[in-house]
Amino acid sequence: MKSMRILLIMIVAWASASLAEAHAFLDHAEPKVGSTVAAPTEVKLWMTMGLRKASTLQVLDASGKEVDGKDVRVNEETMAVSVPRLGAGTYTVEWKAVASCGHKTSGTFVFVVK
Amino acid sequence: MAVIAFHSLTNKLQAHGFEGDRFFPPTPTTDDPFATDEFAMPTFSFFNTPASADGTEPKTHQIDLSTEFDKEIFPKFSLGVTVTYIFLKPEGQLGTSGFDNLSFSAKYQVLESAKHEFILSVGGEIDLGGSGSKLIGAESYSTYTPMFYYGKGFGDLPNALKYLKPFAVTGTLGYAIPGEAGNADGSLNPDTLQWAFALEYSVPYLQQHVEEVEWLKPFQNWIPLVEFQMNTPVNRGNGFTTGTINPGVLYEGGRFQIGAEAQIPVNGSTGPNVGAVFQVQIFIDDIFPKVFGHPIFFNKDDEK
Repeated sequence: MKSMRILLIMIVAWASASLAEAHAFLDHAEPKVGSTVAAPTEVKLWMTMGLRKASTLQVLDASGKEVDGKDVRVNEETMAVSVPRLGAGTYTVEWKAVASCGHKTSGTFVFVVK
Repeated sequence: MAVIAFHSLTNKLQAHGFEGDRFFPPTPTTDDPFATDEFAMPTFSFFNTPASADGTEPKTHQIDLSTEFDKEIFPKFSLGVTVTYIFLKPEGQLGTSGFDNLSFSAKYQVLESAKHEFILSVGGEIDLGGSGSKLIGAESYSTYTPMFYYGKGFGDLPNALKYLKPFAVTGTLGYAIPGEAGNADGSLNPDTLQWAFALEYSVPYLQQHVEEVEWLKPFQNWIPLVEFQMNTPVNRGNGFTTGTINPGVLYEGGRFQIGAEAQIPVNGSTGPNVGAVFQVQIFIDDIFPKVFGHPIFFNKDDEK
């Protein structure tokens, strides 16, 4: 039992010591997830861990057409893309994150321009 | 239909249970539908078994300590093993302990829809008779349980119901067939329908995909849930449905997940006492990404 307890403590300590090799999830975004905003000039995402340059970010209008500037910038834990002046409507943000360790995650959310 | 497709090869490093935007966390008492690498260590369960009606068996305190390991063998197919050590302390008697029978499982993901956050898997479990200790009452016969596993997230609800989108359910439906119909003492071993499900409300899903709610920020890694674990005998004298309702919460910690639940008996046939279960789930694909998180055979990355 003692060796099992030591093994358990080692694993939990290792697992909790660092998130350096975990999956990258969305921490928060600007515009905020589900928010209604005046026309933004860019969409920026803060992820839970560092990203590789292969990460992607797109902004789509209600018809599914990509409306961003296709100039995704990935910098450590953030990725951003510029957007032209957006008209009123609902926009979908699609992101695919490749974490620094190679783990892939993806997600979507919407924001509304008033 | 394109949205529901039979599987092609899996993506590397997707050992977590994702379907579209949805992350289905492994839950303490309901097996999830994903055939991925998983390592639950440990799962502690505490509960008290009431004294038998005829007084021959005293009230017993029981602690189960179990470990489950699952490995994806080829894309969408995994094999697993569960080892459980049981401590028993009957009131007024000396305690005893020992291993329960080994349990082996197999699972294959047959249907998925990322758009509808849906997954269906088939598989089964074998409880290997005689592999455990007689001291703790491990059966001498094997039990075979073919099973369905499913998961459904509600992210495809209309926006008018957006606050319901974080809800998800995972469940299992199995038919347990004991290898022996009866025991030496004349008691019968009925086949049982094993049905279980977990209903969860994912705060991470709400924050990441529906609406960032400022006051929920401190809880953005928490998933409240309630699990239902039921057994219904179907032959050999039948008997009553027994089971527990388990309200609790999960905490997502990056490389690990912690879960804690109460276990509330659904009826008098189950027992009068509330138990508890506590589980640490290690995401081994995060800790050992080169070893876990991809199948042993037909790994898509190996083809590159």
